[in-house]
Amino acid sequence: MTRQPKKNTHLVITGAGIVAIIAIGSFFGFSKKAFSKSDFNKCAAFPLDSYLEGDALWSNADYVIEGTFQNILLKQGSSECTLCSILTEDKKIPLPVIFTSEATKSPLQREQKIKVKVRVEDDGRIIASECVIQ
Amino acid sequence: MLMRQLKIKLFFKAISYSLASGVTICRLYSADVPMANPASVIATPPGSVVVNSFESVEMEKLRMTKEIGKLEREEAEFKEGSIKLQKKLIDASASAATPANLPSDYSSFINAPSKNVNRSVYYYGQLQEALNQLTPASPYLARTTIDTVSPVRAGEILKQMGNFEEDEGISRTILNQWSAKEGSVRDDAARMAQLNNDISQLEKERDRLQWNYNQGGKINPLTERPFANDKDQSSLLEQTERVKDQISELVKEKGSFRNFVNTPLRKLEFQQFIVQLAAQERYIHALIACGFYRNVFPGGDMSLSEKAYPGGGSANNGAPGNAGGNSGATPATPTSAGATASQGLPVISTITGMESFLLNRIRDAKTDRESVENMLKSKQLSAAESLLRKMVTTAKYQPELQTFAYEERQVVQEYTKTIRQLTEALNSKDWPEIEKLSDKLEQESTDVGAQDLKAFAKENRQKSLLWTRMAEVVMRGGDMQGAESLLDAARKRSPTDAQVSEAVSNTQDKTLTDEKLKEQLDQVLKSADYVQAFERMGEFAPLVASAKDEKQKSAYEVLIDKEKSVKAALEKSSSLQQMSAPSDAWMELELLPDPLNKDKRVLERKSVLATDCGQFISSYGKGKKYEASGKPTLAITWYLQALTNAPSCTMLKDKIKSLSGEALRKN
Repeated sequence: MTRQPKKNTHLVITGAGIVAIIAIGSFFGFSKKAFSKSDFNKCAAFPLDSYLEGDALWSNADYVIEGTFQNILLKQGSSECTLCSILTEDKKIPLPVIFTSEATKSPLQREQKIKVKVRVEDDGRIIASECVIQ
Repeated sequence: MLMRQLKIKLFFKAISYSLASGVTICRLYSADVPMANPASVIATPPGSVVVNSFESVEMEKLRMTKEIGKLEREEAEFKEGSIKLQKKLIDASASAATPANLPSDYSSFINAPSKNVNRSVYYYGQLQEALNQLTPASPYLARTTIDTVSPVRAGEILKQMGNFEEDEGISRTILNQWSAKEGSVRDDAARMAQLNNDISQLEKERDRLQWNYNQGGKINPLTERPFANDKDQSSLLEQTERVKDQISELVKEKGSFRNFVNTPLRKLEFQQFIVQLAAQERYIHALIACGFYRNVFPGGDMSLSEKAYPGGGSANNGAPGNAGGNSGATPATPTSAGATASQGLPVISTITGMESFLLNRIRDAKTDRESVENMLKSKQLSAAESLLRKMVTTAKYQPELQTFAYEERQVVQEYTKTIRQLTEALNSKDWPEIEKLSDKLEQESTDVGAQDLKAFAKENRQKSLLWTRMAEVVMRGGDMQGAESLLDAARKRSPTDAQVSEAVSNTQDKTLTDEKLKEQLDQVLKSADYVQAFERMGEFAPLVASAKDEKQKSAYEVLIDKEKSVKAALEKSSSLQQMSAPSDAWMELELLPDPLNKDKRVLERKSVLATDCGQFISSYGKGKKYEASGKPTLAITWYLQALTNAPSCTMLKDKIKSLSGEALRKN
């Protein structure tokens, strides 16, 4: 009978820990979501038509691409860059986007809807700086 | 989707298989080995050289080289065979083989017109009748002997024969010899001796008077006057002139004695005349003359004078005709003529012997005539012609020869002509003519076979044709020198044969055609006309293979490969289109390398396909443009767009992969 209070204490501590973790996680998740959302909102939508026609209107600006992750076109080990194909949400046009290791915190899966913040280089390369899974 | 990809894969496999077969076929054309049987590539006429298709090229070349090497030996064999046949033809008819050396008598006899023969028949009939009257042993008598001879009757017949051209005055000469019998009995030897004596005496008198006359004209030293006075001198001169006149008269009379003959001289002249007739082969005339001789000098010495017949004359007979011992009165000309005439005659010492010789000759001529007639009946023309030639040389003026019917002579003449034509044809190597004439000869004659001639002609004709065909084969093997040697040999062996000439001409034409073809091939290679190269592969491939030019060969193969690529792409495109994959179909053509993608057929097909896959073409075009301008990501974007229209296009995938690497490298 002496062992009963000991057992309850453990359960309490464990429950409190879980709650604390959830609370912390929820805090960070919320805060990140809130930050990102606010950051993506500042960016303009990717000028798909201009890009496709090769017009250099994208210099020095970040754009947001919303679409579906299709597949990895090429993965380069040394620079940890991955060229991926993203099918745009609106016009259903596949775009090659270069993802660095920093841009992709979590692994992407096919047919996953994502929102990517990108910058377009002079030579037309689309480089993702941030990516969120929607 | 998977099913569609599977179908495409299967289709590609089928295309690859068919292409592989095509390549194999092409290699067969272009490789050396199939050229082992070039005759099988070209259309082979019946009887042409058929080369074993399993025979190797080297073996065939070796065989052809051997054939060319055999040409020289072949020529020697041909000459040997030709000489043998020439000899045979000469034996068959010497007059045909060497007409230039033929005695003119034979030609005259063979070509004598028929009217002359008819006249000769009558003339010789009369001559035989005259002989029968004189010679009991005449071969022309119906009975073997006659009891009496009738020189008068014979003389009458001979008188009539003087009008005949064939007689040439011989009958008249015989008659003169015979009719001089009466006037020739006088012997003028005594008168000749008297004349000689008188002339001698008168010459002495003349010399005396001449001397006196010369002495009388000299000056006497005592009287200082001439020894004789003018009157005496004048008288001496007159006497001298008178004596000279007398001498002149006697000499004139002596000279006139040369026209007179004595018996020995007449005998000699008669004998010489007989010998001359015998030597001229006028046997009947000679025999008639012998008959008259017996009549003129009956019971006397019948021996032949040495002077009349030096070869067999009697040495004891002396020298007749040297009357009075004056060599000037001896007829020297008949003696030498007799010596000439007796050449070629056997040793005969008497008139009887001469008669026997002449009778034998006449009998021989009769036998020969009968033989020739029999030979003509049995078509033994070679023997008949030979015997006739002998008769012309041994019995030229015999009726047996001269009375040959015109038709019979023409048969011999035709035979001689055939042999001559055969000889000429053999010399000129006119084989068809030899075959034709051989047939004619076999019909004309039974004693001259022409099978060997025909076989020789046929063999050489076939050889020429064979060489022509071999030349064609050798030429296609690339050995132009060998082909030329064979053609030359064929041309030389049968220079007049139309078939051979045509074959040679055809082969030469083919050579020229090949030259033209070579030019065309060069042109095709130069212009890189892969369509022509493929379409005319049947013509060009053997040529390329035989040329042994590796550079040309590889260039030709490149062209063939190009055309095959175009054809394969078109076929593949067509199939993809049928499988509702117009983008893939278009892409298949687009992928052709330059300048194949500008091929007219490719462009046409692409324009047709463009109606079904315009968006794909647009995307691909833009991707290509950006790729070229060094914007790989833009290019990838468009290629990805194009890939949505042609998801199975591996080329696009490869391009994307390649460009992806490029895009990442820049990062």
